Amino acid sequence: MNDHHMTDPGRTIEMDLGADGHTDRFLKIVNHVSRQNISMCWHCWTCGGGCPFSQHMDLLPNQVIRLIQMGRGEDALRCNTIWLCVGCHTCSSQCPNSIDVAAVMDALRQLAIRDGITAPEMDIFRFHKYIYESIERHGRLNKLAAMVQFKVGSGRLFSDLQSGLKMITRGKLEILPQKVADRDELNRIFTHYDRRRRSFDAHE
Amino acid sequence: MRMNSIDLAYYPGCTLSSTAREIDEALHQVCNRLDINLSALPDWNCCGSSSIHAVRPQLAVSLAARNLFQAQSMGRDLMVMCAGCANRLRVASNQLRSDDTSRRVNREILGGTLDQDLRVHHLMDLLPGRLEEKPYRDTLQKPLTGLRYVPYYGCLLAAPPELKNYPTLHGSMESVMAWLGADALKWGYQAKCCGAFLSVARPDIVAPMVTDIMDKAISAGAECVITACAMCQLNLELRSPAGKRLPVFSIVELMAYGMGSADLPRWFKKHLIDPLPLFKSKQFAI
Ligand code: SF4
Ligand code: SF4
Repeated sequence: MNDHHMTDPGRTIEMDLGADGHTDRFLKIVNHVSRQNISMCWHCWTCGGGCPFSQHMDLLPNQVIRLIQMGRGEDALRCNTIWLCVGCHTCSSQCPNSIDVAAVMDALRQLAIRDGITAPEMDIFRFHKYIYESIERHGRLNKLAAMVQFKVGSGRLFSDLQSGLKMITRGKLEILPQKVADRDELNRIFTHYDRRRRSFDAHE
Repeated sequence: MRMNSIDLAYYPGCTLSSTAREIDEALHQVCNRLDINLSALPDWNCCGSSSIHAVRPQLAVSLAARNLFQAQSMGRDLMVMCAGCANRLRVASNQLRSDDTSRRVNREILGGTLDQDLRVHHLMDLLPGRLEEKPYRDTLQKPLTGLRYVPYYGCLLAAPPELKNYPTLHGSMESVMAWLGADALKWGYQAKCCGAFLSVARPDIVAPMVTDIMDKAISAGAECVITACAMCQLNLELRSPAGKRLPVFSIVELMAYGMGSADLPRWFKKHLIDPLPLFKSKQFAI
């Protein structure tokens, strides 16, 4: 079991109460990107209770939200929680305040990447990166290419080799990528979000 | 007799169009028998599920929008079979109608707006009702009488709060399986997460989760696990320990079998856990 008290966000409190408005600013960005209102969270811990990965997380999902409420955005971006979350919505479907916690985690990942914060879970980070790039290239996911890149990138080329081969021989990984025909439209989507990456509007 | 047909736009998605093509085949056979007419979106792209929404949520909305716009111009509601795709497309559909920023941004990028109240169906919210209609109830040719199974929904039973107006799929697999004559067992693990993509990036975390799910299915007395998601099926097969695991089926594969499909032996070849011994021991003709 994880000693959650060890990771109580209150542990090293040096609260920036946001004299410069900073506290609020990060919270607003998160709310905007996720289209949620995390000020509503009253820390009932329901989300963490159902989360299938909570025992591996250094902060429970509501503790991440708490950090943001306290203006400690950077700490929220450094935890492994946001990377371990798979977006299964187990939490979101039970939240008494109708907060889509999974969407909050999505927003935090985007912000962590934007701020160049090293992910404490590099393999998961790489996984997302290769899948993202595969879709940026083709518009659809080519699992084989993304998996090979992942294996090379994570230096785990030979781990899991047997299941990988089994998947290829059983036709569970496709060799040839499928592609979207209207490349221009696809490019417009990706360019739009790339161009605005660094402004507040980036999060539209 | 095609009086009662349902016309839908169909979103195959990256998994059913490639690695799980057998599920796509079974789904088409089933829909065909039930007079559900599917036309695939002409130039669909990733729905923004997978990793896109995980690192760029609003970009994911635009990817979904491109698909939704295609369905809109076909004048049809949309049908998908993947839990992730359904959630992404539904969230995007809501946002494109109710969120001014999203409307403006996506009109800028894609030159359109979503004006219809486009429904996004999951296949499983259509099937049970369809099977209650007399002509379709009678499509059963090869039953699976006495097959003891546990239904496994994974995150199909979970959704963001804003999608509460969509029907829950709870019980949908049981109604289909009851039609086939199979026996559901209670086990309480139907909504446990399969580990999703962490099966690739952190197999060390996912293997124990899947092992636990299999253990519970075995101790409930099940002979197999039924899923409605290709990723659930793959993770349960790939990450469960040899010797302590059960065959895993897709619900549409068994439905197609029940309706007389002869393709099962070919589909079985794609399973990582061979279901053939079970079919033989149950004396189900194949
Ligand atoms: S379930 Fe909702 S209100 Fe409760 S702690 Fe989690 S986010 Fe906050
Ligand atoms: S969406 Fe993320 S935080 Fe919520 S239960 Fe699933 S893995 Fe945990």
